[in-house]
Amino acid sequence: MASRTERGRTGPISRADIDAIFDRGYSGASLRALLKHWSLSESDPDAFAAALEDPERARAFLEQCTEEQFVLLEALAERGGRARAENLRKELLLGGRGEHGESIRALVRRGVVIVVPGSGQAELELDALLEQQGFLQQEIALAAALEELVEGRIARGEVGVFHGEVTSSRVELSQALELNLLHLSVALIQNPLRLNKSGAPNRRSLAKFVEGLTRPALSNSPDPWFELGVSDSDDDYLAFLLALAAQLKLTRVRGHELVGSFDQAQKYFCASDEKRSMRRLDALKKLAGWSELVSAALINARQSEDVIDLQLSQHADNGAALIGARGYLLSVLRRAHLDGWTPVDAVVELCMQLDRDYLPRVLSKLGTHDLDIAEYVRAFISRALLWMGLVELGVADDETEVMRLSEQGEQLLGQAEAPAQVATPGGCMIVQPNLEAMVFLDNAAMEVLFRMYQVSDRVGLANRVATFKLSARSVQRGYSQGLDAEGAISMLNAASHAPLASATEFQLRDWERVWGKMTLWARGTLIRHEDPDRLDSLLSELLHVWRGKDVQIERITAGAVFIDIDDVTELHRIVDRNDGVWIDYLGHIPPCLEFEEPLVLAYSPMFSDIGTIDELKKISAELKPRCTPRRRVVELQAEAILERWPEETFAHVVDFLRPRAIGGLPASHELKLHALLERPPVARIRESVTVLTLESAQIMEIFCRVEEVAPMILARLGDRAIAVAHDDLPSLRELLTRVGVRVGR
Amino acid sequence: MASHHSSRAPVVHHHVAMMVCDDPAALEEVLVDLDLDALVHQRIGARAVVVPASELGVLRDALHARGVFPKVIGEPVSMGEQE
Repeated sequence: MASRTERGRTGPISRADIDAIFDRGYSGASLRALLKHWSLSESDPDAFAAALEDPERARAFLEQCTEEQFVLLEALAERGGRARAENLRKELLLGGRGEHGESIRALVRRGVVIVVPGSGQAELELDALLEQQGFLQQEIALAAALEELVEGRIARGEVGVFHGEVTSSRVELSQALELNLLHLSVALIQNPLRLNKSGAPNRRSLAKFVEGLTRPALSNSPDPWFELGVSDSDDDYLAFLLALAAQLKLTRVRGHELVGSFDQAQKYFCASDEKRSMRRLDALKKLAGWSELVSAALINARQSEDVIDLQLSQHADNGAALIGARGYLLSVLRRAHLDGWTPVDAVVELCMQLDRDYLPRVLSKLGTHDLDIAEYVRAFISRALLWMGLVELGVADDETEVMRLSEQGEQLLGQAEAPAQVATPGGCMIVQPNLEAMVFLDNAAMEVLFRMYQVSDRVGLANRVATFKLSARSVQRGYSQGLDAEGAISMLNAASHAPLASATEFQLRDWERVWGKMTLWARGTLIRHEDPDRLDSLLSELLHVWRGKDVQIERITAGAVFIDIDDVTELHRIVDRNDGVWIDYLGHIPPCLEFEEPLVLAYSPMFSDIGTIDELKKISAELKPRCTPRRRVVELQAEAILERWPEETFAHVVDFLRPRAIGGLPASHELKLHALLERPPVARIRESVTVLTLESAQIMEIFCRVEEVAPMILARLGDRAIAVAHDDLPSLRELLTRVGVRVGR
Repeated sequence: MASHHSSRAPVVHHHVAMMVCDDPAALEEVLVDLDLDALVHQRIGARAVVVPASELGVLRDALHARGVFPKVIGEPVSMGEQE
């Protein structure tokens, strides 16, 4: 056994290997079978070693080999005549030369390929070993004569490469994908996209956002513009685009909306080509919001609109569980020798065979036992990889579907060097005096396109030229996002074929002057105090509590300050302690109106909410003689109220006053309002009336049907009582006695 | 409460948006043709107009319609927060 551990592990079968085989490495039966294949009758290591070097015997073996077996022998010879069986099998698969597990077994059975016993192995039973899956972990080797013969005779063939004529092909430019990503992200930065409860975008809202997106390369429509709901494939592309944007952090869900992030968009689109490519590839692997499993089902028309909604949902992580599978597929493509066009079926087969257990294991965990794995791989290639611009798909003259890596795919999958980024001389755009800029896409860096989206609106896209329009709105929007006039001028000058016209520069500066005058705070907290000194003191206390926190303060007047801070807990506490008023426009609004008379109200402008004061202005008139600066007195005006709420006027005014009046709306005031707005309620007063009550509604119903009763009734009082004139009391008593009704006390 | 608070009491309007100009003249210039009738708002001093934060979109649209595109600071309240 010692000799076995000392023998060399390269090259064809060595003398050390032969000694190991004869020294109890093989069982008696296995050794006899091996010797028989080599036409030897006695168990002599020297004779066996000599036979292995005999070219005649080797030639005889080769003559009986099939073409497939030649391929295997060639691969083994290329590795120096020795390899681990599984490694050899994988190498052949990756080289596009098909599955060779059975070929290896067949050649071992015939003794052409010899199993080398491992250092810890003894008494190998070859027949039993060949039946086991673990057999492929065994080292195999060729006889020296065979290795020489194979090396000399067989030239390597490009198995798997397609030699037919490809009649049509489609490839997506990565710039087209990025332009769509940019267009979508910018739209989402400017306006939120409303989401349904399922997380799928609201269709009506979505329609606005897809305007200007271009269709993916494999779309069957001649129209370049994306349209919602026309085909599953296009809708799936939109879902892919949204998922990719989310994975790149260009978008995020905020409540029931999808919004874009300017900072993230800037970070991504202003990065180098290489960095962006790597980020996209990484995002593809980790894509959580899109699933090629769903795509496979859509391609095979097994699914419905609900599934497209699932694919579009911004809440569902239906692709997260496929991260491993995608990594595996990309690693297969990275390792495969895809040299030129290759049948898609061959690539699919390669992905399924290289590690036969992996995809079934991953996909079965997802509860997709009925899925055809080939369909899954095909969907990944024909949708995700195509849309990413990593592969080119084609159809050959014999209708074979073929694919090859695109230039971008070769670079990203490590099969070609990325070209060095060279600054294009002469610029990529022309800015016209009418403030329209034509950007030539073939020359335009993504950063330039991003900046153009920042300061202008894209108004056209045709023939690889994008047209942008600079306007007050778009330029000031750009300024809001951190650009200034000098930065915009510098960017346009650098990218333009000719210097900007002075009128254009003047316009950009003037828009900045106007823009700089005003600020819109999107949300915050306004603190007011009638005493400026007390406000200062309160502010000092707050600043002390908030030290180190991100807080922005804008003093509006001596008695008013606007604060932008996330956490207002401390402020709330201080306001409570000072018996202050807390008005939350997304929460509770305290009542602030006091009734002085049924239609006359008083309020403090300081302690009332904006909405109440604003509404009061519309439905009342100030009683100026009764007003003071701290207390306003107003009278409700019927005409103004009717104008404000022409329909259901009374209900509206009650709904307005009831929660805002301190102590609620008194019923007497409500009646007065009714009288003011509708018509005065009518009342009738009766005197000298007798009320008759019977024991049940049923008896009363029968009693009222007695002929003499009806003329006596002045009014029904509920279902058990009637009112009759006092003068009719004797007749009533007589009647009651006659019909057998006993009058109680 | 209209009369129950002393002058010592602060008033807090939480979740509001604010349009503020560098100088009073600039605000007057904007307000000249800005139709704020449809908007719940309150003028605070000479330089600012405050609206409930949920009305920011209406205010912004009104400004855009007049060709004013102010710098916006902070994040608007979302539909989810309003519900």
